[in-house]
Amino acid sequence: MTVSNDVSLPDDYPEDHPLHGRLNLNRFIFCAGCLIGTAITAITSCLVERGLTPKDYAIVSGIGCTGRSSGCFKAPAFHATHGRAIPFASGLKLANPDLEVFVLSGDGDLFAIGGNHFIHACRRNIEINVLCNNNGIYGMTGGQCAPTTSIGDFTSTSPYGNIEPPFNLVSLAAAAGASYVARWPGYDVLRLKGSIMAAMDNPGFSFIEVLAPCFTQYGRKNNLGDAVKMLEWLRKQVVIEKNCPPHDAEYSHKNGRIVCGEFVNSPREGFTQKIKQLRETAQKKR
Amino acid sequence: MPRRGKKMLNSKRTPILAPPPAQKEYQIKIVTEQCDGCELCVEFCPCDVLEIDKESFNSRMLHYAAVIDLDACTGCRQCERICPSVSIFVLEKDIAQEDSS
Repeated sequence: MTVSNDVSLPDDYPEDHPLHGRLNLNRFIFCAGCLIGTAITAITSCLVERGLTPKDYAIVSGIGCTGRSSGCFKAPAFHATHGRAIPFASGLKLANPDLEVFVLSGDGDLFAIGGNHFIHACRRNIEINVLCNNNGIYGMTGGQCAPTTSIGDFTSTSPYGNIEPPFNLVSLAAAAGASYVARWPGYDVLRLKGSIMAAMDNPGFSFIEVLAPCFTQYGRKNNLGDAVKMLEWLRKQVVIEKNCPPHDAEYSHKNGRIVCGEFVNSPREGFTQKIKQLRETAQKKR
Repeated sequence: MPRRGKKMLNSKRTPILAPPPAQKEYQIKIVTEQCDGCELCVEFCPCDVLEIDKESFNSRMLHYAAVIDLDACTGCRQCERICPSVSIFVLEKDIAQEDSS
């Protein structure tokens, strides 16, 4: 056994790798087995399959575990301030409507401090694709109780069990008016990739919730084991349903039932197209 | 309105044949410096091709995944899709094309 003391990672993947030149190798700083890396790969491989070069797309992320993912992309990727990933992405899309804008952020960033921005982006139907990595806890700051933590779960700020009912992100997005809403477990990458492709086709706001359980903070406090055991725990609860109305999309660890699938797919006119029409009518009136 | 009966009465069917013999050879490449040893690829592989090498370390002092049975690989690319640190990928080679050329 020979081990060298200097930790030196290669800069890029070998040239025969399908994602060569798209990702920064030494920025994958996530816990071993966390599904954030899988979501990054799913987005990047979808963009590669569409034939988009790094000039054609932009990635925006907020703060938190998933917020660190913007550093992994070799593309225009922005690490926005806490909760302000969606306003940043809206500005990008309005300035350059040809750009394919992705927001990849966590549940604490998008729904705790950035909840207001989220519902208004849904209402305006801005053409951005939002992927929320839902782990149900504030993982990076020490495992505090988040707005997506289920009732009865133990966290570092709820040592006797959580008493607050959580957000159902799918129902929230559908009620606020998003034109594409889906929820998939993070290990089901083929269906997730199909959903990302559909989100890129959709002319409007598309929201995809990715279930990526946190075994470092959430699993340790609730005695759920390591990464592999926790994925098995998730797989026993996941139910995939077709044509399920979004208000029936149950999300509860207590009942052992999480309904996944594609809930809303009703394309309507986006915000940048409306701004374009408004500009044309205003110029005619002059 | 399309006539429903016309399609149902059509008796042409594709014959059911045995699946063709394997014409592709797979090669699994692992970027050992990037691998965290999280065992997700070992768990998700349906044919038990991979295993964590408990004897060797990379420069971050972590065990990494290794191929133990390459002949069992069917090229489903589940390991490539699930890997969180993007350190494993599958290359495929067409045997039939090489023989003809």
